[in-house]
Amino acid sequence: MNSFIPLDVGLMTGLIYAWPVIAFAVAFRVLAFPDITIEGSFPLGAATYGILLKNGVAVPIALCLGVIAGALAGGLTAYFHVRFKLNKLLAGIIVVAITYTMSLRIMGASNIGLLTQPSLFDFVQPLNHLVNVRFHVGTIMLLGVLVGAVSVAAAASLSSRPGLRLRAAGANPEYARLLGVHVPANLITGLAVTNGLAAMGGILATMNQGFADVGMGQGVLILALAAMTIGEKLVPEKWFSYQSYVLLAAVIGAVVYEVLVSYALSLGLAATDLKLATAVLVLLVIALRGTKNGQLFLEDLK
Amino acid sequence: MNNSPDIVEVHDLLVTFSRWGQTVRAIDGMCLKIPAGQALIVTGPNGSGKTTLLRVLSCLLAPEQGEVLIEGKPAGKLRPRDIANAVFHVHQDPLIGSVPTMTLFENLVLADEEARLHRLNRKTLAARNRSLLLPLGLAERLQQQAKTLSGGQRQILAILIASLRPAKVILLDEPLAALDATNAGICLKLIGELKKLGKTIVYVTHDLNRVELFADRIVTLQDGRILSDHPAHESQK
Repeated sequence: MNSFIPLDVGLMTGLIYAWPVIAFAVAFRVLAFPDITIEGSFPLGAATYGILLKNGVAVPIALCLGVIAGALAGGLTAYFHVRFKLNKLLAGIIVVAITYTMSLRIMGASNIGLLTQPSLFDFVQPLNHLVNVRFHVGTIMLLGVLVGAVSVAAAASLSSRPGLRLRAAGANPEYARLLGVHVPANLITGLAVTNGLAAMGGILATMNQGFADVGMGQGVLILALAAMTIGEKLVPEKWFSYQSYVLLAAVIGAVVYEVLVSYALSLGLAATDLKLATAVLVLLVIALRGTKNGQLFLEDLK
Repeated sequence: MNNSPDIVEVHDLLVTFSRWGQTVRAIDGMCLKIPAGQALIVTGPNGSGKTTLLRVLSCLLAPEQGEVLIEGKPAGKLRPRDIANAVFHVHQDPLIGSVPTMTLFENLVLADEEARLHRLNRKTLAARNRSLLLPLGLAERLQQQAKTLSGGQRQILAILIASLRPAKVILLDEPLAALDATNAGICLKLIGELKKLGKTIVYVTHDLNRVELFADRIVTLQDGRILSDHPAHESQK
């Protein structure tokens, strides 16, 4: 019976962290922007949502404002890049520093408890007790539906004409300019959307764990990289359109990664060693795929 | 003699670069008028200012002195969207002329302004794009990503995209460089069709033998100045 617990935890956290993984993968693969802002927008969304909820704001409004806070952080990174010609990574580092202080200021403390506050998961609590084993069926179903809906919506948006313009702005800005695409506006919009998704992940994590913490973004970036890498190894690219492949790989990668981590922890991996294990895993997967396409990541980071 | 009104006018153009502390005049007081529908071939040795001229005409580079008029309007005052609707630039590097992670279908949809204006549905667009790719031998690759094409096929796609743009002026910067004979032949056929569509062509090349089928006029540059300017048939004599 206990063997289901890591699966339960892994599926829940995987479907929650699928949000920042989608954000990172879309920014990296579609917009060619290695965006580290997700490490800041994830807790910023959680902090904004948490403090609003604590002050009596309704869940949907707090959720929307949390997402908007994350979107603003993403937009700011892109703005710094296009306005000041700042390196993409440096722009992200600056905004992560800004969001750390913002999150602290917003919460007024390093963390706030929300265990007694309402959340989206309240609606599916009865479903969690349907089976006799400890398995959060309702929560997992809700998280799955949310991730599925956002993935389908994102894939459809990226296939639409505005989505094509966004993709052109990211993948080939010089060509996009020839077509009259406003590259800076598209980059700002794109990163605002992806970081809004990352903030949504932070909000869901807050709902799940019952508190918001200023440090909850630490490790999200390496997790996203690991999940994206694993997902891309598992999902065959030729079976899907490029945007569907990126999104599906992100979701599957996040779930597989979190399930693996849960089982590894249950088998005795010390939590203190988790980041080292993740880094080794990322390198291992990259090395393995390197035998098939050695230049892939080098090209991506140009 | 082409009696069409001038679609591009270049007046007293000056573009300089700093190279190893010295100022180099890439374009030196150039004046040029290109009538609508003309296929102008620009040739000359390396460093004569051919590519710089194209970059100024496509508004990627602002001149220090002088003026470029496109359809009578100063190029410097046009908005990016107006420039995109007036001029389209096909680069020497085939990788610049499309989005590698998009399918051929998506690349064509993105560029096809007429389809956008007429709000064609997906099925009609697929049929339209398939018919465009069929004579080029690329119809079965419609749903494949552009990055799966060879360099020559990418350049064919880039020139096909140029034909879908509303731009009346198409700038081609040595588009056949590094292409094999088969792909170069297809590209030349497409360029000939651009001319039939009434587009004005400014074509930079070292190889005048390949352009004789559609060339109207040949301008030779040297040290940023026009060395000779004559109808294409005169050079064939």
